[in-house]
Amino acid sequence: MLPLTYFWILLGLMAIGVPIVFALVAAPVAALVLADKAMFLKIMPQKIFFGINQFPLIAIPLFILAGEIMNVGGITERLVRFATVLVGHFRGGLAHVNIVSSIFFAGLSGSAVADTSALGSMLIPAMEKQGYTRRFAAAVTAASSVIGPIIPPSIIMIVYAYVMQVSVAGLFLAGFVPGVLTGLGLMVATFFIARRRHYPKAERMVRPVEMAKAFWGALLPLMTPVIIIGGILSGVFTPTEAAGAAVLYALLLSLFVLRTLRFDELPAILLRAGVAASAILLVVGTATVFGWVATLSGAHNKLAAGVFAISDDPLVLLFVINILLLVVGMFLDAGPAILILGPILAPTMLQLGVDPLHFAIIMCVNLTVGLATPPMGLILFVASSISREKIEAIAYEMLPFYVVHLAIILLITFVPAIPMTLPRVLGYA
Amino acid sequence: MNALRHAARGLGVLNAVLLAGCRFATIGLMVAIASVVVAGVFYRYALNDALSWSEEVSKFLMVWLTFTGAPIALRHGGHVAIEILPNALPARLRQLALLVTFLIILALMVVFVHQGWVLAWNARMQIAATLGGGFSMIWVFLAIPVGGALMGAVALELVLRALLGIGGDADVLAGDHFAEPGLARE
Repeated sequence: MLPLTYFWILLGLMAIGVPIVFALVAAPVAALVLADKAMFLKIMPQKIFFGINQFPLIAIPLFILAGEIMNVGGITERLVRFATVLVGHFRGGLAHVNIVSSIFFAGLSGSAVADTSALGSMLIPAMEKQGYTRRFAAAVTAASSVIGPIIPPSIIMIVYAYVMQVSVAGLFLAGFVPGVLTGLGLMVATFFIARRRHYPKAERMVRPVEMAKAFWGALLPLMTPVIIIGGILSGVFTPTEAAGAAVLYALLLSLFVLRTLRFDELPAILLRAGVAASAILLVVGTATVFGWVATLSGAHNKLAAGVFAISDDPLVLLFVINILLLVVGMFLDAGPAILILGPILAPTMLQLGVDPLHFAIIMCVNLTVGLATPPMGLILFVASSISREKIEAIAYEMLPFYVVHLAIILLITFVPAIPMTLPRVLGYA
Repeated sequence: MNALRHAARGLGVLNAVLLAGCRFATIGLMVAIASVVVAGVFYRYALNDALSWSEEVSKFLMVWLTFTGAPIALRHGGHVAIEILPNALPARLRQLALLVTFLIILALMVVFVHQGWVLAWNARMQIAATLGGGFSMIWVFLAIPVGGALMGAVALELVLRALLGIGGDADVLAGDHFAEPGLARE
């Protein structure tokens, strides 16, 4: 048994600004050296290697790549046009369009940051032109980007499913309803804000012809999630193969059918996707080292004992854990948070009879919301750099949307039927 | 101070070359991974003849991808860090925090290279399970020491630049190391 030194070193390293990916392995290495157990250092690269060398993880670079291919101009534009004919005529039309586009985009990409940058760079200027404040435009974009990793495909869910050995397909299915609900909730909040601030609305309804045209234009991109989910559920693809199919489909679509992408744009897209994927994969690897040392030190038992001292009612504990996750999500990126906390929290909750998939979706949704909360939130950083508004200003405008996010977290925690019905009906839980 | 400046500049040139290689490799590996996975599906369904090696090869390529992409991310601030505390510090102290951060990464990379090499060398007689021709696992494990060395070179340059920054050189962190958290967009 190791003392908990490594944990305090981790906190210290993260506090002075060491990137999390390095802190996760530097802390255990330092603790081993301090404890005069340097001979265990040779296990470190093995853990990293076997943490990364996993077939399910190949879905990560591939889904990022598919999302980046779809992210270029033309396809985003088609989704936005379709969203416009659906909800553009409401008061606060473009804000609703932003949210609905996020729901569509979520089915093509697995990361919230891609959603923020694709939709934000298009819709924030457009909203400003129509008289919305820039900070509100940025706030709507950031708040709705949270839907990205909740509706499948989802990088965060792939990481969770791999670390905690739950079914990727089941977790993807569990995300559908909460993702759409988040969108609807944000639209309700927008409805009230728009009425009070007299935001503009389109003069007239669109004609059915335009509607049909816009639908037709968005149909092929919107088939992506159908191919992914349909392929996995029917047993044709493993999730990794589905990600490969998504890349192929995205390429064929944007290069040859819709012609939204030129060949000479490909290297930059491949590079961006590859570097983004490598950063996540390295975290998976170094978190494996951290997890190994955590297991050696018996952290799980200590935590379980501490948790049971609070209560042994799963509902109370789920509430407490949600608060813990919200606080952690304010500081940590979702991936590392899952990798560090998942293996510690989940076994304890499963002992109390919480469904593994239910706990998985709670954790994923909660930590995704954390991406949009200050002081550390990747979505906020991106929204801020696109809109050139201060993070605090955007976060303040987001207050009503945070209420929606919180309500969704509480709903999926205490009404398990909301996330769990789909996977149950289809036999994944 | 002058020597330090020269060293930083020289290492900067070297790293530019190394990172260009990393970019090239990262693009190639992404193409290869996607192709192998798609080919695996195609062979199983269209030709009814599953490729025995596609899973293992794509995993190995992904391990390499991790270690060619990570140095690029390190150079451009693509690894997420929590910078609330350093940002709250006065400029000089913040430079010091940066210096300590980069020194820690550098030290860690020395461990990566050393232990990674030991692992790779010990695995030289291991043969990959599904690849023919006695493909030695050393070529896969080598990703760790090689990636460690590349990240170490980047970290050393960042250490030198941070030192120059403490010495008062204004534009030394002109690469603006942690410019865009989480985004390795170039």
